[in-house]
Order: sequence, then C-alpha cells, then structure tokens
Amino acid sequence: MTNATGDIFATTRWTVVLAAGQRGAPQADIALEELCRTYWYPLYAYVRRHGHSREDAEDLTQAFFARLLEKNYLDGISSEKGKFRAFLLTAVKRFLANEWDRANRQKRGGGVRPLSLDWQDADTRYQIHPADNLSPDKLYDRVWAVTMLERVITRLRDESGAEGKAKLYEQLKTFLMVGKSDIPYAQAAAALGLTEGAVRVAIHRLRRRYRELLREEVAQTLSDPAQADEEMQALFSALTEGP
Amino acid sequence: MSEAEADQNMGKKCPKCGGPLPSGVLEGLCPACLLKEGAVNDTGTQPEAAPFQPPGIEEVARLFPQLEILAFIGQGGMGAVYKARQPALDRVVALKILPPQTAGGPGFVERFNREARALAKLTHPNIVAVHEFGQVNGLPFFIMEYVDGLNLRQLERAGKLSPREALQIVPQICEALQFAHDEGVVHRDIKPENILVDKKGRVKIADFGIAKILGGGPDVALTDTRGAIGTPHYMAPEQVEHPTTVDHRADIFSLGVVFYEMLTGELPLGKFAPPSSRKVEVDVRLDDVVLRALEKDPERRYQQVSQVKTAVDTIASTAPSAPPPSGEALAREILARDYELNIGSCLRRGWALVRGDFWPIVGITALITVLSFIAHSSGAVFSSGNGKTTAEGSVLGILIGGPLAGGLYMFFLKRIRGEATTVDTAFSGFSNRFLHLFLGSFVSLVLIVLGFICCILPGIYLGVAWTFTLPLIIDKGLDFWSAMELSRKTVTRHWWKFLGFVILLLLLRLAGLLVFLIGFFIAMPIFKASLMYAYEDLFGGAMQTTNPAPTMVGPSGTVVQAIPAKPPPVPNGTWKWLAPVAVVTAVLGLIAALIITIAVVTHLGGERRDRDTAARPVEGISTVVDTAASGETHKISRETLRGRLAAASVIYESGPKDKSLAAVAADAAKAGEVDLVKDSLRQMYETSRRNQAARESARLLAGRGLREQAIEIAQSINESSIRDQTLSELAQ
Repeated sequence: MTNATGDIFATTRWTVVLAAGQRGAPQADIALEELCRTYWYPLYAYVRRHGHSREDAEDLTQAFFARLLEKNYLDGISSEKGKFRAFLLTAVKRFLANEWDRANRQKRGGGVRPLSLDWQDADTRYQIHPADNLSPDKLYDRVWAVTMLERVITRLRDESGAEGKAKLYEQLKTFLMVGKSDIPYAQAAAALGLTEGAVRVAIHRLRRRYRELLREEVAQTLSDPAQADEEMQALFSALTEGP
Repeated sequence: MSEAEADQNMGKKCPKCGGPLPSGVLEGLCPACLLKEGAVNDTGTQPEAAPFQPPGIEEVARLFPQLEILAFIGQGGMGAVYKARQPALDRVVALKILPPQTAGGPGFVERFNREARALAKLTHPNIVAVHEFGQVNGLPFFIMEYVDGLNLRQLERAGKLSPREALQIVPQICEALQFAHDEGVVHRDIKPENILVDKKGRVKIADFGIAKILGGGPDVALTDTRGAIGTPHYMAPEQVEHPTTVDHRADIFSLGVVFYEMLTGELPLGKFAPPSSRKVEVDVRLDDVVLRALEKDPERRYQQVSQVKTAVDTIASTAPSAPPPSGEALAREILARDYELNIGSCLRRGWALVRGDFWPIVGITALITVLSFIAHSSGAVFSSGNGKTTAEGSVLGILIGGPLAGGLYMFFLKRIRGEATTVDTAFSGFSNRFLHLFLGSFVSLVLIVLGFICCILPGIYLGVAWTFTLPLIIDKGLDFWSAMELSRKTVTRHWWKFLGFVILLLLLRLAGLLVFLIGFFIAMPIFKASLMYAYEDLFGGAMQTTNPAPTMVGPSGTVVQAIPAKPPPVPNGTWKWLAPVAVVTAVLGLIAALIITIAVVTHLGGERRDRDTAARPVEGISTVVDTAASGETHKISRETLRGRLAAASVIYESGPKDKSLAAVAADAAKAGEVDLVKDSLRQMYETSRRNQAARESARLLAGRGLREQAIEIAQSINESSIRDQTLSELAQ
C-alpha cells in the first residue's frame, strides 16, 4: 500500500482513475487497484447480503473486479462518478443484473484471480456482522464506513508505533470518540502518570492527526475533495440510521 | 475468531451512543462516534471545542501589570487577542497570547525568540508591527500594533468586497509580502483572517511567521486553526506535503487563493473555473494572474510577489475592465431631472473661481489655448506656400484639439469639485479617452461645419447643442456618440437659454480679444469655468465617474465605516511646482499675446501704408498738391511744378483732378511760369472751375507784373461776365 501524500489539493486516486478514462494510463491502473483492494469487502458483503453463497460471492467479486480492471465499466456510469462508493455500487448492480446471472461464471471469473484477497477473513467478518435486517445497500454503506475507518485507525496506530508512542496511542485512542469538552483530562493524566498539560497536548495532536487521515481517506474516493464533508455525513447516516 | 466469540461480540453496544459495535474491527472503537468526532468542526465557534481557553481579562491584567487591558478582541487557533493600552506611552496596542501548549515542544524558546526577532524587524506600513514579545508564566505573547478595522473575512461576510476593491487590496498585500520576503520572512499562513483593513482603507497583514513559531515540530501541523476540519484551503500543495521546506512561493499560492476568493466569493477547489467565468465583472486579464499564482508547481508560479503586483497594477491602470458605461442609463437619469440653468450664477461662480486662484488657472488655460492655437496654425510651418496650408494645419489641430480641450475641461471640473489638480490634469485628455475625445471633437466639428454650409441655422443649433460633448466624454466616460446625444438632448430642452448663454460667453471672449488680446487670456478661463459650473449643475452627481483616471482611485471604498467624501486639498508638493509653472506660462502667454498684438497692428499699419501709396495714389498726390496749395511754398521750382502737373494730369476723377490742376496753375502763376499755367488750365475738366482758376491765375500773374500774360489768360475765360470782371480788375 503506498503512502498517501495527504495532498488533497492535488488529484485523488479516484480523479486519477476518472481522468485516465479508457486510455489505460499505468498510474490509473494502480490507483484503481488500490481503491479496489481497499473497498472490496463492502462489495463482498453486498453480494453476500444479496443471498449468494460464500463461494458464489467470492467468484462474483473476483469476476467483477476482473471486468472493472479491464476498464469496461468506466463508461456509461456518469451520474455516480463523483463518488467511488456510489460508482462501485452501481457498477456491481449492473454487473449482477446484466452479466453474472446469464453468463458462465467459470468462464467469466471463476478461474481469474486479479486481486489476492483474504476470503477467509472476509467470511469471518461477514459472519460476525450484526445479523440485523439491513438491506444490501445499507449494509454496503455501513461496511464501507467501517472499512474506511479501520484503514484510518490502522494508519494512525502504525504512525504512533513508528514514533515510539504505541503505548500512549493505546491509552488515548478511546478519546477519539469523545467530544472535546467531555474528555476527562485530569483523570486520564492520573491514569497515565503524566501532567494534565502533557495529556492535553497528546490528545490534541492525536485527534488532529486522526481527522487529517480521515479526511484524506474520504477524499481519495471522491472526484472533488471539497465533498468530503458531505461524504462523511452520508457515511455517518449509514452508521446510525435504521434499515 | 470462533462463532461463539462472534455471537458474544454481536451483543456489544457503544457505551456512548448506544449503537451496535462491530466486533473484531476498529480495535473495539465505535465507528459512528469515531466518524462523528472526525467530522466535527473544532475551531472555536463552540467554546468547548476550542483547543485553547483564553485567559479572562482579569487574569491577563494580572499577568501583564504594565498594560491596561481594555477588551478581549477575539481568538483563533493562533491564540487570543486583547486590546490594551500602554499607559506610559499612551498607546493602544494589541496583545496576542499564544496557546500554552505551543510552548511545550523542544527548542520552542529558541525558535520563538529567533522568529520574534525577525518579525520585529518587519517595519512596513502594510505589516502589523511587533513592539514586544516574550513569555509570561509559560504563555508566549506578542505586543503588536493595534489596527482599528476589520479583516478580509469580515469584509467578505459584510458584502463589502467587489472585484474593484480586490484590485486595490491585492497590491498592498503584495508590497507587504515582498518586503517580508526580502527580509527572509515567509508568512506561511496568508488567509482572509490575517489580512486587516483599517478605517482608512490601508491593508495590514498580521501574524507574520507565527505559523512557523507554532508549527516548528514535524508533527505539529498548521491545520489546527482552520475553519473547516483542518482543510488547509489557503495552503500551497507543497506546504501540506513538506511543511518544513516551504519557501516564499507558498505565500504566493495563498495570495492566489485569497485573490480568487475576493474576486468570486468562492474557494478555488478541485477543478475550479477561472475567476472571470464565475463573475462577469471580473476582468478577463486577471484570470492569468490568479491562475498563475495558483499553480501547483512552485516553479510555474510567479517567483516574486512583486510580479503579481506589477501584473495587477497594469491591469488596474489600463482598466477597460469596466464595460463601457451605459450612456442610455445616464441619459435617462439626467433627462429625468428638472434642472434650471442660472446663467448669472454660473458666470459669477466662474469669475470667483478664476479670481480665487488667478495665476494657475489663467496660466494653464493660456498654455492650453496657445498649444491649441499652435496646433491649428502649424500647417503654415509644415507647408507654407503650396496651397495645402489650411488642410494640414487643421488635421493636427483636430487631432489634439479635442483631447486638449477635454483635459482643460477636466482641470476646471476638478477645480470646481475641490480635487487636487496638477498640470497633468490639463493634459489628461491624452492619457484618458484620447480616441473618444478626438472623435467627439472631429465628428461634431464636421457636422457643425456641414450644418453651417447647409443653411447656417442647423450649424448654430448643433454648435450650441454639443457644448458639453467633451466634458461628458472625459468626466462620465461616455463614448463620443452617447456624449454628443446626451449633450444635445439636455441642451435642447432649454435651447434658447443655452443659446443666450453661449452668445454671452462668446461676447465675453470677444471683449477680451478687443482688449489687445490680453483680455482674451482672462476671459477664456472665465468662459471655461462658467461653462463647467453649468455642466456641474446639469450633470453633476449623476452616476459615479465610471472610468476614473488611475490617480483618482482611492482605497477608501474598502472601508466599512464610510468616510465622508472630503475633497483632498491641493497637495503642497504639487502646488510648489505648479505655481511657478503656471505663472511662467501665464506671463509667456501674455507676452505672446502682446507680440501677436503688436505684430498684427504693425502688419495692418504697413498694409494700410502700402494701400495708400499703391492702390490709392489719388489721395497721396492730392495731399502733396494740397500742401503745396496752402501757399507755404512760394519758391516752387519749375521742375516741381512740372512734376505736379504731370501727376495731376493722370488723375482720373474730375473733382480732385480739377482741384489739383487749379492748385498747380495758381502756383505756376505765382512763379510766373505762364506756359505751365496755360497747360494746367487747359487740362481742367469743368468749365466753371477752370474759369475760376483762370481768373485767379490772371490776378496772380498781374500781381507779378506780367500784365500781358494775365490779359491773355483772362481772355480765355469762357463766361463773359467773369471774363469782363477779370479784365476790369486787370485794367485797374
């Protein structure tokens, strides 16, 4: 996985893909593969929730990515091009409706494995998801949000570890979920054996870095980084709203 | 993870929001809460979210006993600002306290001191000065110049910024940045909040380099202070990627963002459109400037802020940016008015203006008039004698006559309005709207001449109707045809009054001309001033000058608290050199007038003499003859008499001829030249006169003792009674 530059003024991965279009620029292939690697699981969950078996879902997801990476799906999907999340969902729906059901799955995708994905982990994750009655679309968005957050949290943890602050991170990470005014600095300081000022600064920096990474991660899937707020709001709704 | 564990985990709920917690992922964190906190806006609009609780006024007063803390001004991510007074200096200052957590990092004190010293060296009218800095109880602080005004963000929100204001503000920002860059200081955080505009419209940039003080450590990003979740809208791309290796070109990018926002009200995000396509009133030429400042690659940007300033200044000064003003709207507005032309008042005010500032006004008017005169008569210099004199002279005259007159009108208008004027003002017709002034004067002249040729009356009508064409062009920025139409329509409504006014003014000039031309140079400015007062009465106040000369552009429009428009006094510096120039011009003009007068008088006199001697020889000869006839010359030689006889004999008209011949005859008789007497008498035309002359001659000859010759002359008299009388006289 490449290190994201954090340059949200520059192109996002999704804009690289869109800009390349059918011409098949190498950096566009890399960018699309990167996006697919990151967000394949929501897609898998969506297919599973559609009632496909584990094996079918695996084949289907692989076949879909095979087709996608052949760059045949970038055409004809214009309205959703602003967001990779929406684009991927539309594309897979079309794939399921038009191609998969009447095509020979063996021919199409069964033998081809364009991405090396951890299917075992996927199945486990799917199994442990709350077995509520979410629609496939809702589940897709919700899983998407979690996937993205996970990626952010992983990066944050890795960065902290690289700075030798892994332990501090473990102790402070829960404050990422708490409103600034509700953080019990004194209590945390006592628990950590640090001064309150030091805890204040540490939490402040962690939260700030977290926000930067989150925004960057969201922006990577958008054609216009300025829509990041809107996208985060949409994902938040997906997490909190009912089925 | 086994199925059983999974089942257990499924029941977990977030203690905070009560939402379901997905297990095995996110390290047990709640995605909803994470996302909510991640998207939150942490800037200080909500006090509890602020990263820094500013100390209260009492606490600050305790920390800074040397200051009198007057008020809490506000806070941003960069700390809190208080208005304070230094009692010893009786100076109002701004006290800025930085967040205490910034002071914790390694090497902070050294960095803070180093940067603050660099800032203290930045003394520039467009940079908020740093008076003092230090740390009190771990709180880093600055004491700075207090700026009474608003920042660009507040001005934007108040809707006080237009593209025109942007063109006045940006060059000032450029000056400040260039100065700082020359001193080796990069601002690093140019954004609307840091650009202050005081009540006089002066731009002051705050927080120079503070970003560097705060952002010294590699993990301390600058984004804490941003409005929207750390989105560094104003940051250059390289500033986000490599915060430690930023140079002055990052400021140029930020300036580009600010500029774009000022012009369009929007941020240049994603694939943004050039400013002029977002707002129609933005000059298209500004697109290149803004886009070049916003180049992602620093190498492709402007390399110096001064280049931005030069580009903006050039565009602002050549400003065709404003679309040609709608002559129709102006015409409608003016024609809708109910005006009254008060001729007496205009003349009185005109005279008062000229009298109040006699030499400069008379001098400049004389200068322009003389130049115009020279231009009109210059054809003589170019091609005298080949018959094309008039044509060529008038071409140059028409070409610069309009702009010259327009500039002079502008000069008077500015005087009337109490604005600063220089000699340049009188020549502003060349730098401002030259083409339309030329066309206006040329077209109206041609049409007026055509009108006169047709049947005189249309010429008179148009001549009066287009009185205000040139002032309308240069003052209101109308194109020449609209100006002619507006002038005509306005004048037509009270045409007779205007005719009277113009005739009166022309008479005034004529009167001036009669006073040896010198009066002309005094009458001329009164003429112009009166006309411009009439212009002000009719057109003044309507629609702001839409195409002002660059020198008139003042930044006061940017100020929220409207400053009452006060005419600036004539600057002393200008006046110092204007006065001698004007006096010298006036004196030269008067001398030129004198010379011209003398030349003309001499010329006329010479002509008269020539005419007297050549074209009208009769009078000359008769004068000579007459003088001789007065009897003063008794000893007239025979030769003289012969000459006089010869001259008199060629006189054509009978009356003078007979008179002259009679005189010659008498003189010849006195001299005893009998044959000459006879010749003279013989040539006389009228009998009665000849008889009288013969009687006289006979008497004179008899007196000289030449009685026989006298009798001979007497016998030649035709009329018997006179002959008899003469002979009886001779007989006695």
